[in-house]
Amino acid sequence: MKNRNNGSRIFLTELMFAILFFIIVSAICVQCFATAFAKSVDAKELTHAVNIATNLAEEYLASDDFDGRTEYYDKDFNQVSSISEYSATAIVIEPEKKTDCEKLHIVVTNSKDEEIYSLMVEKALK
Amino acid sequence: MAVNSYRSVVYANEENANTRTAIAYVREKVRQHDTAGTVELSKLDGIDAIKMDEGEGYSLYIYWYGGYLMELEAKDASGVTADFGSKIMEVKEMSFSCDSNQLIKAKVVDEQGNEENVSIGIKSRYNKSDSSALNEDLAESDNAGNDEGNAGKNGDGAGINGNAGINEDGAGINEAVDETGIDSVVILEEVPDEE
Repeated sequence: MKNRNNGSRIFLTELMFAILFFIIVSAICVQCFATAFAKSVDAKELTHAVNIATNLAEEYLASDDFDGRTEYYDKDFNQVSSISEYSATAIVIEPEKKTDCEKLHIVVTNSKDEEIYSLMVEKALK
Repeated sequence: MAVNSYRSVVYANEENANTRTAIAYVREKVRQHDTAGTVELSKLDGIDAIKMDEGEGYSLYIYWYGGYLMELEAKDASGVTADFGSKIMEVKEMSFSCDSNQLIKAKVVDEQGNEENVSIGIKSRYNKSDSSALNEDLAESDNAGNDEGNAGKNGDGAGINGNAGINEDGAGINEAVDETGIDSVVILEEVPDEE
C-alpha cells in the first residue's frame, strides 16, 4: 500500500511538471508568433510608407511647380480624398539664402499621428 | 491555431517582400539607365514597356507578360517577341503611363491583389518622346559651343560644332546632366588634334 502511494505521487508530480513545461513553452511560442505578426504588419506599413514618400519625392524632383500637399490613404494604402487611416504630408521649405537648396519634407503618419516614415529631399534651384 | 498563426505571418511577409521587390526592381532599373534621352515608354510586341537604351543599338525592356514581370535585352528592330524575355517575378497586373514627360507612373498589382503605384522621375530631363525639347536644348548647346569657338579658344577661330559631342574643330562639347536633373551643364574640354 505504501509503495503504491509513492508511485502515484511520483506520477502526479511528473505529470504536473510536464503540464507546466508545456504551458511555459506554449506561452513562449504564442509570444513569438504575436511578435512576428506585429513586426510583419509594421514592416508592411513601413514598405508602403517608404513607397508613398518616394513617389512624392520623385514627383517633386521631376517637376518645377510642385506645391506641398497632404495625401490620405485607407488601411490598405489605397489613396482616398478625405482623412483616413494614413496620411502623407509634403511641405516645401524655401531656402533661407539664394545659394541654398530648396527642401521638401515628407512625413507619413498613421491615424494616431505617429510617424511611420519621414524623408527630406533637397533640390538646387535654377 | 499555431498553424494559422504561422500561415498568416508567412503570408504577410511574402506579400510585403513581393510588393517591395517589384517596386524596387522597376525603380532601380530606370534610375540605372537615367541618362539623357535613354528612357521612354514604348511598345514591345504590342505590349506597353519601359524601354531603356543600353547603347550600341541595344535596348532593355521592362514589361508585364503572361502574369510575370519580364525583362528583355534586345537589339533594336530585331523583331523579338514578348515571350523572349526573362521572368523576374509573378505579378498579377502591371501598367505604365507617363506624366509631363518627366514622370513615369507604374501600377503594380501583386499576386495577392494589392495595388501599388510607383512614380519614377526621369532626372536626366530628356525623354525621347519629347524630341523637340531635346533638339531645342541641343541647339542651345551648339550655340554655346559656337560662341566659345569663335572667341578663339582653339586659336583657329573656325570652331563650329554641328552636334553636341562631335568634335570638328578640336573643341569637343559634352553635354552633361547633373544627378538632380535641375540644370544641364555644357562642359568644353580640349581634345588634342588627330593630325
